[in-house]
Amino acid sequence: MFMNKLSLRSSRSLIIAVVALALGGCAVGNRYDYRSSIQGLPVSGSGKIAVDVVDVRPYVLNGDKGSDFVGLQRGGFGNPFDVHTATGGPLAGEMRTAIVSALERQGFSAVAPNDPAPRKMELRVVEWKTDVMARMKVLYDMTLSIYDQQGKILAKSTTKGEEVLGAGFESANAWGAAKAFEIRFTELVRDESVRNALSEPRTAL
Amino acid sequence: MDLSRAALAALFAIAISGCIGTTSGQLTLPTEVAKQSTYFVERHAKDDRNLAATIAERMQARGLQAKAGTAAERKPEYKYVVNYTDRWMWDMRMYLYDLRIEVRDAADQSVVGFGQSTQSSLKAMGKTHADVVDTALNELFGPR
Repeated sequence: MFMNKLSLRSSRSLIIAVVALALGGCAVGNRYDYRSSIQGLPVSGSGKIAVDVVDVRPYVLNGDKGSDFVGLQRGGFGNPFDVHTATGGPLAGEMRTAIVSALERQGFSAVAPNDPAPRKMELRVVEWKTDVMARMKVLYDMTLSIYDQQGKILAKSTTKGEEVLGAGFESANAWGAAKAFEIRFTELVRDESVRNALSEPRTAL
Repeated sequence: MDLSRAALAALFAIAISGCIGTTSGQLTLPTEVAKQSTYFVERHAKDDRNLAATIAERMQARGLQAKAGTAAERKPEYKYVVNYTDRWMWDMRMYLYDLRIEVRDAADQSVVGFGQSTQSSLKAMGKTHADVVDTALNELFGPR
């Protein structure tokens, strides 16, 4: 009788494990790559721009999550698993790589944040997180600031909100997340004052 | 009895995982601007099935001004360029597993929207390429 009870309990546990795996097996270990997420920008020029991305997400600053944390992927029971950057490096780094590549495609010369340049571009990330189960929720709060070489602010644009997009398996979610970032960053750059500040003639260094 | 129900639930969970289809997308253009704009669907070199023409045709069915062709055929009057990535899989036949469509400003390649449709083999049964394209376009421009 004891063996019967044990067998019944084991069978139940096995069935629960199978259901959980079938419904949530793809939730573990997801990674999103933001490095080549931006293909074009609504501004072009030829000057030098120092580019910086600053991650000020509260849960990263307080150590609750690592700097490579980019969101959550939920299993079949809604249980969350962390999603990280493809490189394992900071999200700010991957975002900066994307921005630098895009600026250079548009004719600019992008340099390190502390290098001298007529313009400095800083993206401050207060929130960037995706939360995926049946659909993908994107939560964002970012500010783009353009400074002159003396550190005087020339332009600022902000985007903040949350959206619900579709969702799929890892590669579709990774692509959707990258597209969402591209759209939000493009929106920041499309601001007229930002475009003017970036494309104004200035003294080259 | 409990065990039988649990076993049935497990089998059901496994079975329905074959019916998966997912979509996502977003368009930042205002509706009126999207309706009145002109689109060029750029056919990529590996598109042997001319999916570009299907995409343009399904956009025209929504009342959008769209034309398909190669990059060399694109004329300056088109406001937006439509690019796509199609992935195919074999399961008793080749089926369109994943279609990703991006709409970009022709002047600077900045993104204005994207639509994506993924379907498993079971989900894709009975669907034409046009159906899959429509699913992705629904995410961009809204349902027809």
